[in-house]
Amino acid sequence: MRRCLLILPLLLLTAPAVAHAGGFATTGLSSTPDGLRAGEPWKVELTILQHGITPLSDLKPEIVLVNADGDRTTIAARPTGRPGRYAATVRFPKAGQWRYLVYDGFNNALPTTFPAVLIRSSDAGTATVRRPDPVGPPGLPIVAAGVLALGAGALWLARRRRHPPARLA
Amino acid sequence: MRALPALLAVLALAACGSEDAERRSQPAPKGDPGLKVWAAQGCGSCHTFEPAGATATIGPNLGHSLGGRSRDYIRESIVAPNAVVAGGGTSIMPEDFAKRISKPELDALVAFIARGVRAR
Repeated sequence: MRRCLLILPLLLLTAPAVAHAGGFATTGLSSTPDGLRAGEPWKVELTILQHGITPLSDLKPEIVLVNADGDRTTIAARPTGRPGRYAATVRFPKAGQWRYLVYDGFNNALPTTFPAVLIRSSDAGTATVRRPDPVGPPGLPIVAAGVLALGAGALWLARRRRHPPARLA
Repeated sequence: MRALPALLAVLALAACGSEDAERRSQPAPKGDPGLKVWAAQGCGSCHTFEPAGATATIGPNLGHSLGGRSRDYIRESIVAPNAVVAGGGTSIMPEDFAKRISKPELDALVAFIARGVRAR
């Protein structure tokens, strides 16, 4: 009996972890951060549902922003008081392409990921931000292929002029 | 010299492949209504779907399970996920999306997924 009394608190302590380990939750966003400028607030509400159905309260969800340079920013979402609803105000710290993902606080092994977004410069007006590209300008492979093809074609023509194919009598 | 056409073909393929990778790494189209529904409903918490930047593995990869399917099939997969389950069994996907989202939202979501999987 004493053993049972000793084990019981341990079981109670580990129960939430065990319950979370195999479960999953869905995370819905009230909006997406399209067209934002650096530093501009993105007010977003998260809806977190266990198995896509049951609102989950008492979680500590986080939104993580990562850019191509490896800059990483984490924003904690706070409960709104409504079941399964959490709110956050997110600011992308600088312009460029950012990925964002949400850790729901229920099963953090399974973050919800979203498509990358282009965050514009906070400078006024028409400033545009070029997407960081580790392999060079977008059209570079096509231009390079074209130049190589032209070179190969010119070489072929030159050789053909020098050594015209033998004509059949 | 006979290798010239092959060389050109290889160069063309290399250019196409690079373009494809480029397209994949590009941000999603700004303000796509279907993507907004996708994000609002938390679809990316369960599914992998490249156009939505989603990499989850609870449910099927939509690029595989819905590739080449009709829009009607995609719609049915959302509102009645147990109507047809690939490989048999039972889907764990919620079955109340027809009630949760409006018809225009559902249309937008179906269109977004159909574009992403090149549906028939």
